[in-house]
Amino acid sequence: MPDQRPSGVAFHRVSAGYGGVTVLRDLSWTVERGALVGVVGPSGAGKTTLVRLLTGQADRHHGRVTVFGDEVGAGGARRIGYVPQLGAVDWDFPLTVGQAVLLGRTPDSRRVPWFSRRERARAGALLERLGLAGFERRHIRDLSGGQQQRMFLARAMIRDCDVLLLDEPTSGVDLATRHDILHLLADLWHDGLTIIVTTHDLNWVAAQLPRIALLNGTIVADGTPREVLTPDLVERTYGARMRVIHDGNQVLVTDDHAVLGPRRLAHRGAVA
Amino acid sequence: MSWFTEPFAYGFFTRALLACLVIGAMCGALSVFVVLRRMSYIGHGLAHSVLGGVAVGVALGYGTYPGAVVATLVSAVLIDRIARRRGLHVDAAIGIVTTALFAVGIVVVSTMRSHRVNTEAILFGNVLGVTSTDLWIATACAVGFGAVLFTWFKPLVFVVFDREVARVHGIRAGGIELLINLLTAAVVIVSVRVIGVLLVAAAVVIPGALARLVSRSLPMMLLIATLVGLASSVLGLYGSFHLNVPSGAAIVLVGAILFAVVLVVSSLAAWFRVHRARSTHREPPAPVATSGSPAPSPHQPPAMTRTRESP
Ligand SMILES: Nc1ncnc2c1ncn2[C@@H]1O[C@H](COP(=O)(O)OP(=O)(O)OP(=O)(O)O)[C@@H](O)[C@H]1O
Ligand SMILES: [Mg+2]
Repeated sequence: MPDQRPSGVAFHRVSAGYGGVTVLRDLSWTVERGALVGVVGPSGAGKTTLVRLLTGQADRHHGRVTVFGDEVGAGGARRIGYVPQLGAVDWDFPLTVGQAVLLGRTPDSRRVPWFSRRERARAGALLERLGLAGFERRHIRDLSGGQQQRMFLARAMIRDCDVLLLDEPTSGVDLATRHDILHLLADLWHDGLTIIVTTHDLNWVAAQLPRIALLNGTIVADGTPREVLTPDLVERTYGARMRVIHDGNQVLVTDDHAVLGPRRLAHRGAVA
Repeated sequence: MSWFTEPFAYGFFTRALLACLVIGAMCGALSVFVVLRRMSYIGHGLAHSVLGGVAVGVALGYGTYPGAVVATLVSAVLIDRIARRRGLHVDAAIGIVTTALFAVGIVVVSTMRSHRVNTEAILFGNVLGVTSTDLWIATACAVGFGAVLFTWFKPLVFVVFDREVARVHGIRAGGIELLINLLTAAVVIVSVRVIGVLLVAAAVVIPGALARLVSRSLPMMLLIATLVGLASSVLGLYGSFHLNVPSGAAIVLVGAILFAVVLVVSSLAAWFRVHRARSTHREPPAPVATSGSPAPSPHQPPAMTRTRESP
């Protein structure tokens, strides 16, 4: 019997990869409309590939991927906003923060070299909401990593998307920025957006997101952090035994064999 | 002032000057995209395939343009196709396709010596050869170029800046890239008459590179590059007239000199800024020691280093 719930993003027995290489195998997974879910897994697990499957950049070998009922084609789905993993663009490119955000509006904008006053006002409002008020006329190089991340979030949001994909939005940013990004995601989630966010930071995700999926070539488990972060499931995903500590509402995953244990630090301290 | 007015006594000069203005502006504006795409090599490649096309076209009796158009179209499309194969980059594609067409040109030119294809004019440019047809073709090309730039400016910038996300936003990045390549091909073709096959590559790079040195704003870069393109082609034309050297060489030399001057000036300016910043932030005087221990100097090596030295 077919699923009657409003489907957001659905993978049905999908195998995918790049060229002849298979990265994701027999993956079936559904993210309901309006969900906020984290995808966690070790490096190389296929988190980016999963996201790229939705944007049309990975090759689908088998199965079906739908977004709000529409099959995803080569150019990706229509309603997706995408915030890629940082670092791929030329930061010396001659663009201001405002212009970079407005580019996201291109397909819906008039075919003239400039953006309308209304579009610019919209970009300004988005930047303000993301804590980048006053940066509109600055060069993109002048932003910190976390600010660049938020700028690209604004570029995705200016498109009027229903699904937001964020690939490792928290890697390489400090604790405070990580906190801000998380709050922002919660806000957007409350606005009704469907959000998929990848991260390799188990604790960050475990501690904060309402729902996570463990990925390692395929979805290993999917549920609340409390349900999913068990020693067995974590071991199946990461291939290493870890300790899971439950503390009130918090879940914490730690490595049993600390590489830089207190002994080594003490040794360094003794030298200095 | 006669240096500027004297050449107008010759009928061809006005035509040549107009052609230089149109071509200089186009090369200048285009060079911004060439530089931002890091595809400085493409002008070089396409120009080489032009030689093949022109040689074959002339040999078959079709004149200059049909051969050039076919050759650059073929190479622009082939480059596009080959570059999309995984593992091959666009530089390899350009290297293969265009030098092959260049080789075709050389073979044809050397087997048809009797046809007296003016190789030197094709290679280095010849303003004397600018006919009113050339001028019309260049003008039509410039109008088309301007129209494309105006209509597609936003998608062009988006794709050049961030191809992946542009695609996600529903922009046909492949189409846009092909469009840029075709624009480049068109500009190269109409510039070959004045600048020459071997030198047009520099004309579609130098203005953009110079603009990038001095500006971080795209509209400003376009303006500067266009002006540099205009200035170097006009000054180059005068230089070519007075010194009796090929126009392409003179134009490219003027551009290169402008670039060198800006490079030196901007490096000096950067050096002075750092120098001033350093001298205004002088190190504060060493704090007066209040206890028995001497105040640590800021240049003292960190503790770790010292322990390593003393066993
Ligand atoms: N463009 C590509 N072509 C071929 N193989 C690729 C490509 N991109 C990634 N892969 C391979 O796919 C596998 C999964 O990569 P993916 O980027 O999806 O991992 P990830 O979970 O995002 O890892 P990370 O946490 O390091 O970002 C890797 O083994 C990688 O080698
Ligand atoms: Mg990744």
